[in-house]
Amino acid sequence: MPLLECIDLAPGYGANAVCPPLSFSVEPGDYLCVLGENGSGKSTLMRTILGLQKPVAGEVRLGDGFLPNQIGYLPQQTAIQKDFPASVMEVVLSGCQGKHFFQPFYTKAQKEMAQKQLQRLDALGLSRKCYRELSGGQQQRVLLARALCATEKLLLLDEPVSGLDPQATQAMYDRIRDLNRQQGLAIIMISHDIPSALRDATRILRLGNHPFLGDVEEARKTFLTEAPKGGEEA
Amino acid sequence: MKTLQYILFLSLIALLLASCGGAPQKSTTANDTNTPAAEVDMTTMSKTMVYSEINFMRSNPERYMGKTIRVEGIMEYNPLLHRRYCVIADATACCSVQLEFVLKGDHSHPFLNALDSQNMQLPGANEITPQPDPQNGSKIVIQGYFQTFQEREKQSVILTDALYCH
Amino acid sequence: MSEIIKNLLDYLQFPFVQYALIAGTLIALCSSLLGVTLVLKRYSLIGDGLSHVAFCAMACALPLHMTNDMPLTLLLTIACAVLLLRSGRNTRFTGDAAVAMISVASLALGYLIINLCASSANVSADVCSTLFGSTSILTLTPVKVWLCVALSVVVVTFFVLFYHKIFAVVFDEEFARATGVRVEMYNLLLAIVIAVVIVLAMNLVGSLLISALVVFPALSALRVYKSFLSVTICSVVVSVLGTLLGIIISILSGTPVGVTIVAVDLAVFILFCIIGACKGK
Repeated sequence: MPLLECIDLAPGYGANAVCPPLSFSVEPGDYLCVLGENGSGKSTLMRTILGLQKPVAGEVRLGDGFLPNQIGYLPQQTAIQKDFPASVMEVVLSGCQGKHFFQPFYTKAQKEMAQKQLQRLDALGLSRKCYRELSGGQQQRVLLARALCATEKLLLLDEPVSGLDPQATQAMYDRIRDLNRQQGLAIIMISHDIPSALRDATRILRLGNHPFLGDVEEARKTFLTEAPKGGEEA
Repeated sequence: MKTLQYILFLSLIALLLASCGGAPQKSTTANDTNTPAAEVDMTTMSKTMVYSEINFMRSNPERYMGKTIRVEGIMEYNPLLHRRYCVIADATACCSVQLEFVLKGDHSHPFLNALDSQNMQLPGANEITPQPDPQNGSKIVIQGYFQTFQEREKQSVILTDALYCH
Repeated sequence: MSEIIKNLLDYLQFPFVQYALIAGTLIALCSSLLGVTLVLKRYSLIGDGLSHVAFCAMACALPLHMTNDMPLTLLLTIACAVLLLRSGRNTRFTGDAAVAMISVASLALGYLIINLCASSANVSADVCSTLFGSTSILTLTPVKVWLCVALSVVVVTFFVLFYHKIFAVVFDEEFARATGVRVEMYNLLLAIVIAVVIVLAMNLVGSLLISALVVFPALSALRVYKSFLSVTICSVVVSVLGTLLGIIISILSGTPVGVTIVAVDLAVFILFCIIGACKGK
């Protein structure tokens, strides 16, 4: 029972599709990595799946009983956010906002869940701190906790390690892999990092000049044979 | 600590506001020996207050009826209409309001007969000659009795039996 | 000193001073609440822009011989607020350039219309008092004070009930939309509330100084406080106290009300900068 199905989906703006029509589904426990050069349409695809923009053609179908507000999302940070005066708890709790139309105050259960998510990511000690005073890696962890407040089933991540130092990058990959393998969360992740993608993912989708969609074993073989051409541009 | 300071300051403001009163009562000793003390002396108030109070007078004349008003402003004499005005500007000096006045002993005002039947003419007023007018645009201090009259279906305010103070 | 206190207590007995203090507090409360969201969304000059639109709308009411220009003013200002604040990545006509253009164009148009249709002799005084507010706040009628009260109740209620949604939308609009928050609706509501507050706040400080009232308290709070809730509360307190102090100083010393309030806000901002710098060390 797939969580999400894309049927002949052509994401784009207006009448211009950024990539040819795609058809694939995401099952529970999948880890789909979306690769491709800049401008190949990765972010556009993700935004189309989330319903943030309309596709040029095709549709995104959600599984039975799976609602749009049950998808977690970790977008790229804006400059405004990096400098925002908010406590970490306020940021994480804002992940619960999509659940109810009218909810002036957070319930105890929601506050406990926020704490739980922070603990899952070893970030409970940050809960009282000011968001803008955290390091890049810490901020990403907080945003991940926020995304987890919105979902238990499917998580979409847009370049979650961009701008992080190698240590933080590795820590983030470990956490995402843990969420997928131990906690059973389905992941769709946009990335530029092919080695890590080949290591952690179950399926690869590559957009751009050499499109590819398949299992990670097939991907390894395909990419290996491409290596003599100079490999992928990062 | 900061919160406590804010609360204290707010309470102080609230306390001050609690001293709400009715009509304003102000009396001071006369600034000169020529005129007695005015009931509403605006020469001791700041420009901001004077302008606001004049506006308030015009929209709530019943509160000031018959009171002696003393105010400082700029002289304006309209020779065509033979009417005198004391012009008061606000603090930004871009807006001004005119307060018309009739000098003591002057009977030439076109609407004098239409003035309030509360006869404000003092005994012996008919024998007094009005004071000479200062130059147009000069600073003046006048004191008179606050009244209203109807001018072409509009109620206007005026100071009668006014005297120039020095 | 006792002379000053005595004068102040005398002045506080005047009804128009009481109205000014009440209306001032309420308008300061509303504009500071909105100021935090506007500053964080990087729309600090929108207060200025929308107040110029309101000025233009009031000017338009002249040739149409309207006795009450409030409905037209509100309508035009709300329309512009919605236009400027609407969300969406693909809108070309947003951001500070749009605010600048609308701000300057409506100021010029408004003045042009007033000049062409001058029914009163004192055109420049009308313009000046609309721009700088002059003593408008000290010449309020009870009706206008009640209007302020009604508006404040609406704005505060809106803010309290939708506080967390507003935070979510301001902090991360994309995430909020992706997780099911009706971002368009909240942006629309915010735009309407901002427009209404600005039209009414023009009575307080006039068009030119609106931005200060919206922006300074929020900026002061941002120097020192670290969570969205504490920034909002501090902004409100600073704004209200600054306004009250500004009004009191202006009636005691005879300075124009609007500029005095801004001067006080500026002094508070500098103070908070110093506090923030000391805390940081």
